[in-house]
Amino acid sequence: MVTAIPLLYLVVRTVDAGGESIIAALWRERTLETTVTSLTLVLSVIVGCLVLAVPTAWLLARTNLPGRSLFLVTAALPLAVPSYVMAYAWIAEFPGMSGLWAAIWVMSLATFPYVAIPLTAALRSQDAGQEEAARSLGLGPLATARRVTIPMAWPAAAAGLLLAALYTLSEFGTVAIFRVDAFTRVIYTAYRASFDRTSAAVLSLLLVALALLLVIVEARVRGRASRWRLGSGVKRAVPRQELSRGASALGLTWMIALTVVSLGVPAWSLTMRLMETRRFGFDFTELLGALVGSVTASAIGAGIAIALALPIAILAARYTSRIVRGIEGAAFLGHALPGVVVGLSLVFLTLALLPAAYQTLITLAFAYAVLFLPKAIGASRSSIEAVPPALESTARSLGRGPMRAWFTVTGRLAWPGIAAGALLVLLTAMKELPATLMLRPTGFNTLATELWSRTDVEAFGDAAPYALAMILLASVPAWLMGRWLAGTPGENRRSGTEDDEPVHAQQVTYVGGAR
Amino acid sequence: MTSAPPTLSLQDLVVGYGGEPVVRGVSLEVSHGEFVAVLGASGSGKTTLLRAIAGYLRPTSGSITVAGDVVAGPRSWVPPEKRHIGVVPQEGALFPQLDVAGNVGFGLPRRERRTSTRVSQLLEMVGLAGLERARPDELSGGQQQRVALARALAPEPDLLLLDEPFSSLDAALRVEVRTEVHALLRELETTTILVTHDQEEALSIADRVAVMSFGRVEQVDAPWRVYEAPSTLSIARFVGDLVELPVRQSKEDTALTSLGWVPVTTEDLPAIGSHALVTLRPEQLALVSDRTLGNGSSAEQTALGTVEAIRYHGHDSLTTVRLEDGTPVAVRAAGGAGVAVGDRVRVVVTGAARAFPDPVV
Repeated sequence: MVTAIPLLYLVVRTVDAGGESIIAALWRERTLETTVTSLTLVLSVIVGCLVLAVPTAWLLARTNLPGRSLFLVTAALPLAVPSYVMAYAWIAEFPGMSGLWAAIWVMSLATFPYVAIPLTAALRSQDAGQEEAARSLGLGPLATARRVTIPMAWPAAAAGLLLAALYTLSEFGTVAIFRVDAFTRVIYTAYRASFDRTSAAVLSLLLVALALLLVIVEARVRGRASRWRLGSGVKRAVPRQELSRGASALGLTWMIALTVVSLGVPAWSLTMRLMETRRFGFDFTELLGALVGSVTASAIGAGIAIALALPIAILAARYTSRIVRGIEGAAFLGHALPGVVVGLSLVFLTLALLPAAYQTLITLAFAYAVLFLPKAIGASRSSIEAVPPALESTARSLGRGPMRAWFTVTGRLAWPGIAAGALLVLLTAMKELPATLMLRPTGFNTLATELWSRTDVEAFGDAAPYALAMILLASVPAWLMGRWLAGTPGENRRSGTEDDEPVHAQQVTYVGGAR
Repeated sequence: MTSAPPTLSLQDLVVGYGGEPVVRGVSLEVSHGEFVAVLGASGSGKTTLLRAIAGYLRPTSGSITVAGDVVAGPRSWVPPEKRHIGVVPQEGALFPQLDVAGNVGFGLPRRERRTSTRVSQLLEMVGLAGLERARPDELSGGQQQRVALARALAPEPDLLLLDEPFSSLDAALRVEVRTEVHALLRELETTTILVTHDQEEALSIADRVAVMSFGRVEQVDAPWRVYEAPSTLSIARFVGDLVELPVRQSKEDTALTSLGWVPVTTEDLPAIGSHALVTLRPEQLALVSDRTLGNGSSAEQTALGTVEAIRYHGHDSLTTVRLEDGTPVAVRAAGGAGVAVGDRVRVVVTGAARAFPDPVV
């Protein structure tokens, strides 16, 4: 419930401001423009993701394209590049880039793996039986794709699209770098121009409402995610399509071009900037200071997140009452909470209730905990679920008390997953930008804020080492998530934890990382 | 009937997955309304054969003709959707995103899917009336198979292929669903090929059984012929319990074995050489207590032994008797055998034995 406190306070604060000023803030032309801009951005990125992900997934899952295992890795790697680092890399190479189209371009490149990888897994893991049955019932290859393959792969794609859309909606760095007046940037600007904080609060609530709308729409269009396989026999993989020489060349061109724009350009740009930096000399103590700052704040945040997550995860893994599901659902709202909103609400909250806590390390860490609590819950929950309850009850029957039984059996077995959840929160929090900008103590720097301040004044060369450090840190959860996405097809959240090998259970652990 | 082309005709069909062929030259004709079972152990190529007929695999050579049209041959290829062949896959392979009605109506033209009563007729036919709105994952295994059958029958295919459709069901349900499906297909006069590894299933419902082994069809015959007159020793072993006895010497139409002189069917007489086996089904043997053996039957056709084990099944029993020369034989009797382990018994042969060249020598 702690997650909901900032949001609730934001509502209270807005209502306090009085009906008239709410209406005034809502009915400004600016609000409409912002909504249109954000929606255009999100919808265009959804289209962009589909355009990039669908051919890629088909090539990787259903054809004999040469080098497809290598391309599977390169298709996942953009997850390791924080989107505003990617934006920075592009603008450093092409300083003329700005506006909505630039943001759509970069966000599509940064988020398409969220769709491409689960879709590849879903297409690969489909049983040949349904497609064959459709063919025997008189459907040609295209009609089979339309009526069987796509409907069956759709839940995986829809879940990925939701992630990409939520990510884009709450993205701050990229839209700010390209000067796009989407919600996040407008809220941040309104907050900076401190005379207009009611407007910032109203816009924040509108943004959260939009994010929730996305979640609801996704749940609707995904429909009922049923067990995608009936029966229990050995499934037969769909045979890969033999590509003609021309089609192979075309497919290779597509994959190489995609790799170049999503990885090659950022890598090239950062390398060039880095070399310039070395020529002009660079202050390493500053980088070290930022790194220490990032690790300190994120580690405290991860600690708080796990402490909050464990009771919920234990309840959710073992009992399924309505109240438990409600609590878990509320915690998952965190996915729909943009960093800028959490930052803003904590600014208000500390100023109003606890001025001493304003812009302290502990408030910043708390913001991280609120933002990334769902990741911590997801990871702990699935690793606790993977421990058979019979083990714990056996320990009880052998004379151990409930607490001791939990710690010596379930906790003992589940701790790698719980620790991985904490690590995931830690690494993700290091990339967080808008809440950090709002809540950090004066003079306290993290990798993200240092990178930000340099791109803000267009000191692109100086930003490169920070960008590189962020990519290195981010590649750890991206790698874990890539393994999870590649390992679990579609939405089948719980499958594999019980009867598959333990390695697989570990991969499922990162479900919280993706949602 | 005689002038119409066979519903399915296979000529020297060879099918493989790139390497060694899995189906190596199969020829088979199935006439309208016939129910043919393709029986084989796993790895015999029976499922590959079915997938080639359905159009999921392209044969390496040979041809497939359906209702007079060549659908696969040296110069022709008809994709699966144009063959009018219905398939009921092993696990049903229902479309999980559609409800039962959506599954059954899948192969119907769009207009018929919505308006016609065909879907509910089909569901009623397979005994699932009223389940139109149910989801595939809410159905039991047997219900899923019935939906898959209704789905395959909806477009009124020329030929229906059943790929081990009952193997995922538990024993009691398997017999029930199998019997119902058989009666339904018989009533509809649907030409059907059933692929199975279960000899009891093949023998009990097919008009003809094609026994496959190592990619070839070794025998196509009525079920009773396959059981009583198998063309090879391996078929004889595959389709049921078998008593195998080496031949010591032969005289006219009898062979001397551990059970004494046993008569051999005339068609197998050429097989009796110096290295031959005669085979009997356990039900061709009977037990008589040592003392009660009358003068009527010739002592030459009997042998003494000791009861070693009894497997009692209720409707029948299988008794293993160790003969005095150490050879074990199985004896089937209706009901209980009326003996106990350790009893001295005399084993009597009724009917004629089959003879095959001894594969060991």
